[in-house]
Amino acid sequence: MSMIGQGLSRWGLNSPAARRNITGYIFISPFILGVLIWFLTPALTAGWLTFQKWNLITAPRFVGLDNIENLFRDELFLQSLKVTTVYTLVAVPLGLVLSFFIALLLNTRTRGISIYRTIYYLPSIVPAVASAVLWAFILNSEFGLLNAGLRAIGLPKILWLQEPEWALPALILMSLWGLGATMVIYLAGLQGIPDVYYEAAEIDGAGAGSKLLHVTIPLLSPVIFFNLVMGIIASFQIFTAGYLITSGGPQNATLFYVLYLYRAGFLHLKMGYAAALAWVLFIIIMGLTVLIFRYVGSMIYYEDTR
Amino acid sequence: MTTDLKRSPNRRPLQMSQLGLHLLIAFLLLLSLIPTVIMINLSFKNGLQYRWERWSLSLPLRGSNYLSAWDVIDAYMINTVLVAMVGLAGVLILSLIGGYVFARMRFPLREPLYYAIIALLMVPWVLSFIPAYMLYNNLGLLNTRWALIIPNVAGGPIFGIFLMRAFITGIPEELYESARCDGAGAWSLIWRITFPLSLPGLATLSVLNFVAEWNSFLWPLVTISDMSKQVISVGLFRLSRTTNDSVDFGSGGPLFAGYVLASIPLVILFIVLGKFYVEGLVESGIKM
Amino acid sequence: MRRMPISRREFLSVTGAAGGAAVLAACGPAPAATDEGQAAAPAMEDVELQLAGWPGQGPELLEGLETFEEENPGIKATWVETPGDYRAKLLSMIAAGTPPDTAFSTDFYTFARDGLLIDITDMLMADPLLGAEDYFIQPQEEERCTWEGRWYGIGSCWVCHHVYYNRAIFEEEGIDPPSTDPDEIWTWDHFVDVARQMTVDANGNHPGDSGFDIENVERWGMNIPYWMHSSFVLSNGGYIWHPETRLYGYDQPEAIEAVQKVADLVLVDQVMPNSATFEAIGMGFVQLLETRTMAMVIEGSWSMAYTHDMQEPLGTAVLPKMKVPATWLSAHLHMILQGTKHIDESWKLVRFLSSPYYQELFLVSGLWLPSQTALMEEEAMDRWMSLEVHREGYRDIVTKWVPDYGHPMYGPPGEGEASGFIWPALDAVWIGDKTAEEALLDATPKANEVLKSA
Repeated sequence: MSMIGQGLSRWGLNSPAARRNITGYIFISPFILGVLIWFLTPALTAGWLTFQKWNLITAPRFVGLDNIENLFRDELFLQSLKVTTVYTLVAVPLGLVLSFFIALLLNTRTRGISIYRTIYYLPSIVPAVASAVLWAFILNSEFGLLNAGLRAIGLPKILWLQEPEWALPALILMSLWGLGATMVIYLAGLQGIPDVYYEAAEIDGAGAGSKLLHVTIPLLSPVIFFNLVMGIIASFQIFTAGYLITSGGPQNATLFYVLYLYRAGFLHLKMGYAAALAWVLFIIIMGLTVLIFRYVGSMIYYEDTR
Repeated sequence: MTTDLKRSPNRRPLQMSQLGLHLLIAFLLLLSLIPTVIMINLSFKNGLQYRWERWSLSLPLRGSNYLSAWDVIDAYMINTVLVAMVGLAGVLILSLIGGYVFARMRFPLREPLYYAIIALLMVPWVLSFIPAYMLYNNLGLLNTRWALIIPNVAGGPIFGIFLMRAFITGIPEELYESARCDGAGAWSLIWRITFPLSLPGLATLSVLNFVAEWNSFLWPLVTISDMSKQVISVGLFRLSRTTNDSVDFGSGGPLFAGYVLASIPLVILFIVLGKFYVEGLVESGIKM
Repeated sequence: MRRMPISRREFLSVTGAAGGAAVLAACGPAPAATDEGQAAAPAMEDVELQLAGWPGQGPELLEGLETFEEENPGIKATWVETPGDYRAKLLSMIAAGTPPDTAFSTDFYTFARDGLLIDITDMLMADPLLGAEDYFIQPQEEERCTWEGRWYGIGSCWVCHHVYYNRAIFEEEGIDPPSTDPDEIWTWDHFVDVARQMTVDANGNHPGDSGFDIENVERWGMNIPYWMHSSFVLSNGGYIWHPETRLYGYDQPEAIEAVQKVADLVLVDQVMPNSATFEAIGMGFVQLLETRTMAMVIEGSWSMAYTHDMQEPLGTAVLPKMKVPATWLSAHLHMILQGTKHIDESWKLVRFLSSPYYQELFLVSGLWLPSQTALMEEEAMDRWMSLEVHREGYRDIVTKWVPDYGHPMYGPPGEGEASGFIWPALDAVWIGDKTAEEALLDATPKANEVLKSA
């Protein structure tokens, strides 16, 4: 620290405030450096590709804005955008509420609760390939468990993975078994709420509902917000379910955006176009996130950070 | 919400609702168990049982499925644990520090920098796939374990910092104030105060990062040619090719045994880390 | 896997006998490096070649490469296997400027067009063995291997579509089974009619009978994986890709009719389970026949390799014809990638992979069908073909069905993207959401736009 201090004083940066400034940078620099080299360089290269025609095989050729113009003539691009948007609009709010609810249930200090937690998390642990096979079984219209359940309560069978209108709902349903990650983040957040707040609320005569509304949710709002943002980012980038279970079908009903992007690059051999697709996705997610930060972020209760 | 239930057991109506809660927990528990139970059930089946009695429990259980699966995937499991652990250590350190910096320190351009990091989360992974491959190739890192560790250590903290910042923001400022009065520097604020108080967050991050590493498929597939360095998800794919050829559904048992085996390290990790949730670290923090 | 005991030496002498002394001589090292090999080149660094491909090749491949190394001292051939997205792996290697020396083909015509492959025409023509006019089944080999008149690879083998059936069922029902001889080919209508007689529900009713219960079928007449409809488009006088323009022909009346007929097997004729029922049955095609869940199955010829242990008597037959006999043909090619530092050695390897010796390794199990005429000689077939594997009459498949009625099917540049319009349209036809006419007339022009601009 002293060597750094000497260096700093030479530039007249020895005030405590300046020192704190510099320390922040120093602390964060290994990370920044890593990201620059290993993450940002490839991403920027890909940005450059947006203006190239590149089939991965021959040398890239500059084509200006062709790739971006082509987007607007591509009906599969619009289809994939639609599929992904619908998925996000339904699956994210549903998942946020459900996992919050489950986290609340599990946030007790009863004996054996860690086993419960593990069980709830199990479906998220099952390897993605395995859960794809399992869900293809469960959703099968003839021998699947889901239709057996429908039959038991006297409902007609549904062709979950064959009918275009049911395939996306089926994958949304399936996503509800992958909420483990969101749930543990809520849980960790709930654990971080000091008991004193609840005690204080109880003294004021607050009931369970009022404590939820006036203590838990406000104090947890950074975590809820975090899960909302991550949920949207992740949902716009959903890939595995469409890739492994439905291959984007039937009739492109589950052609998720990133699946289409992946195909554009590796199947259609249009890396430049794939890069353009990627930038559009980036801008969409970014735009959404900015909106959320502006309109939802302002409602967050940050405990005395400034 | 539920913590108070325990604390005030003398309230009658709550006892009723507690029963209801337990029933609800049990019901959800059952629902969430379905895929796991199916997976384990399938893992003990022989070809005929797999074909005819897919949903029901069928005897005899064929435990040897596990041996045949383990034969194929043992090396992949060990590789993945190794690579994921080394990467995780880096991710945890960088995320804790970064989360603290963005939650608690003030410096010029902090906010823009923070938003830039969040923006990185929105970069679709497919985008940088080929350029990244070329970069690793140019540096001679293909077909080495570094090709698996570096992307995690470099990219993992992006999410990690976002997550840890959310947790660290929630730590009461008074704790830091009193430590600062004792003359603690930024470094010791991180390790003496932030670290113990953010264990649940770090545990969460560990699980999420580990699971992500465990499931990463396409990158290892493409960067690692030497199968002796390959990871579990590729290994499972290989298992599915060797035991379940395209025309014969008959030997799914070993495949699912492989899936179960591959899940075990994650279950262990989750149980081990689970204790960070229950030790009431926050309470001890309050007393400090 | 069963294997006929035959040594390399024996084999060489047999091909020599069949093809004359020149052929035998040509089995020596290729002209480019005549003195290597014998003289155990002193202190020469070994040349290392990579051969990239996908798994499932069995021990035959490694056995073959070992033989290659023995015969070519100083060259090491390493098998690089990608258990998963082979295309992504190969493309990444190429994009990074480190392609493997040799590889199994994917997007072959795109690779050839874009100058990614070594033009092997001259080496091939100069080769006394492979350059002989009647070495390959023609014109199919030339059709698949050439792009604008030049050769960029050599096919590993051929695989086709044909019928598999359970002989015992036909005997019991007293119905004549279909034949392996294309001269006795069934018409489509007859095929569907037999399938109808073979389809029985729990009460003994057949499709078309009043009271036929589709939910309780005891035995189905047939099954065809939908992607194999292409053989019937050909058989109906249509085409998948036009030989000149390379555009899709799915909007032609012949193709539309053929696709509708295949879809009607489920939708109208009820002789075949729909895809969900098929999945529910959950059996591979061997079990389907063995358990008498199905009387006939249309499958790939490669599936013969999985029938060895079948308990019931297996029969094979050519596909029924709609207008003319026809089958789709395919199989990967072996190609040399631009950027290799060892063109001569790579050619030696590709040449080796195109030798009767290597191809025969894979014929024995039924996985491959020959693309080389030497292996279609009676004596050759006596050696690699066996009744336990290939069953009675299979010689007709090898000597008539493939060479006389087989059409190579390799997608033109842009096919990967263009099929993104065709496959979803076909999906809608298979489940009866749209007629073939509605779906294909809408989708084909879109797909062809992609092909035109590819």
